[in-house]
Order: sequence, then structure tokens, then C-alpha cells
Amino acid sequence: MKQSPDILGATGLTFFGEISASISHELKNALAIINESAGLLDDFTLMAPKGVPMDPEKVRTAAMRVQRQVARADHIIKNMNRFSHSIDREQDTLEVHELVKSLLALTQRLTDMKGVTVEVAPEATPVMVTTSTFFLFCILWHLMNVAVKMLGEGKTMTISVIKQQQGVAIRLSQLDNRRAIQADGFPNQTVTALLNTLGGTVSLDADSLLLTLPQGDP
Amino acid sequence: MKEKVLLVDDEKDFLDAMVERMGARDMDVSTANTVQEALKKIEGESYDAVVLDLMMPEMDGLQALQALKKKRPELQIILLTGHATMEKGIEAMKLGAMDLVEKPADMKVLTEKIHKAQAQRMILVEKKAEEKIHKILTEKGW
Repeated sequence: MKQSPDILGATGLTFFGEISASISHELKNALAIINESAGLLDDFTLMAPKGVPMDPEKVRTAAMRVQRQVARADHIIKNMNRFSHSIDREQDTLEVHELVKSLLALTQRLTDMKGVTVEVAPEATPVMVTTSTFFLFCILWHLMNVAVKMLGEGKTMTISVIKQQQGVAIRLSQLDNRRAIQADGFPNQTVTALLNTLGGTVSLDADSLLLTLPQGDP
Repeated sequence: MKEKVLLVDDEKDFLDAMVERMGARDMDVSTANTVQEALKKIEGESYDAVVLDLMMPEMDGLQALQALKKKRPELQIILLTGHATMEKGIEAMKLGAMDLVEKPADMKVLTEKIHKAQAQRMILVEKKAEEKIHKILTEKGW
């Protein structure tokens, strides 16, 4: 049987690889659009001497498209940077809503590919915890993948962050079917190892998964 | 003869830019934002080439390729991918893709592949027509 550190190492590497691949795909898409827009502007300059006048509106549209994609790529890289730095330290004091939003931004393509919509319930107040940023990213992603198997027809999942007296609860709701999880023997070794590392617990009810984490010492 | 192309990608900005560029190169371009939309379009129209993004929501790119080929076996499909590996290329060809191009694509390269797709499709259409004539002649016993 694998020891916890091996499971954590393997889990962490797999997660890092999955996120990196998704980010690279998103950036390639943004670059492809920038490439075509630049090519289009070049086409306009080549067509002008041949008697096709340059349309300022079309030039503007192409320029705005480039700006949009640059903003998109910048947003992706910011999240990638946050994710990369999540392993800098064993523990960090972080705002949980921001971390959830960051994870959703990083994994949007992956959830889109599964035909799933993930929404974050609006926050009332900031919720701070001191914990391992990387392993919190990791366990949330694992739980999201588990929850995807439980989604109903609408394929929409809602993530809520709830401040508790001694920590935080993160609820993945609008789930439908417990059978898939029970058949897979949830929680599996990976989730158990992550929970041990974070000092957290996970529970199931009829329509949601609940992850609770302690406040931690700043 | 104008090449008739169907572009399939979930990124609208990408489609808009490509439509303009390919239109300027005298191609007749249609677009589909989803695989389902593409499947509907190929029912009603025949295309010289389909340029299909490999990573789209709702359906795996290789599954999309198979679905399109099942409906129209003579369809020439050029796959667009963020990472063109040898393995991916081989798998795509085995499933009936005509070619695999890495994003961001060079328009010259893509245009040449579309020309090639049109030529290949015309050969297939002619062959089919010949087989049909041969069958008629054989059956009628003239």
C-alpha cells in the first residue's frame, strides 16, 4: 500500500500536469486569434495597392480582437502565476473565494469539455484560512471531478464558501446522484491523503459534497 | 473553382478572423460554433474541406471527426490542434482525417492543404460517379 507522501506527490504532479496542459491550450487559442488578426491586418496592407481600399472599421475590429485576446492571455497567465506560486510555501493565509475563482478560471476549459457549468455563489464576506494553497487547489479539483459524475441533467454545479466558527466549509451543490460516488468507494486514497494533509473532512448528503477545513494558525 | 470550406471552432473571434482572411483568398467559407451545428451543415451542403478544432466542448475532437466522416465519408477534414504530436497525427489519420495542422496556423500552409482537399474530394466524387455508371452498365447489360 502506498504511503501518504507518495500519494500526495503523485497526485500533486498529476494535477500540476493537467492544469499546465489546459493553460497551454488556452494560451495557444489566444495566440491563434492574435496571429490571424495580425495576418488580416497584413492582408489589408497587401490589398490596398491592388485597389481594395482599407476599411477603418475592419482595421479597428481586428485591433480590438487583438486587445481582447491579449487581455484574455494576461488573465490566464495571472492565474497560472498564482497557481505556480501555490507551492512556494507549506502554508499561506488566503481568501477562499478568490482561490475558488482562481481554480475555476484555471479549469474552465476542462469543465467545458465535460459539458459542465460551474458557478460560484456570491460572497457575503471574505473568508480567510491558513492552509496549503496547492493542496487546497488539489482537493477542490478532485472533488469537482467527483461531483461531475453526480450532476443532474442541467449539468450545473454551484460552489459556495461558508464561514464557520472554526474554519470554512466549501459546498459543491446541485448534485443529483449518490450512486456513482458510492460505487467508486468515495473517499478514495487520494482524497483521504489530501484531507489528512489539510486537516479537513468531507461529507455527502442528497445533493451536495461538503468540504470543511480548519482555520489554521497564521 | 472556389473552394468551399466549413470552419468548426468554438472561438468566435478565431472564426471571424479566419472568415475574412479566407474570403480574401477567394474561398467560400461557412462556420459552425459547435460539432452539432457542423453535423447539421454537412447534411445540407457539400464542402471541399472542413477545418475542425480538435479541442471543443461537448465532444472530443476525434469523436467529432468520426461523426462527420460517418455522415459524409468523402469529407476532407483538416484538424487544428494546439499540440500536433506524431501519435496524435497517426491516430487522426487512422480515423480518416486528411491532415493535422498546429495552431497558430500559417495561412499559406492551410490554404495549400485546402487546395489539396478540394482536389482529393473531386477525385473521390469522380470515382464514385464512374462506379455508378459502371454499375448501371453492368446491370442493364448493354
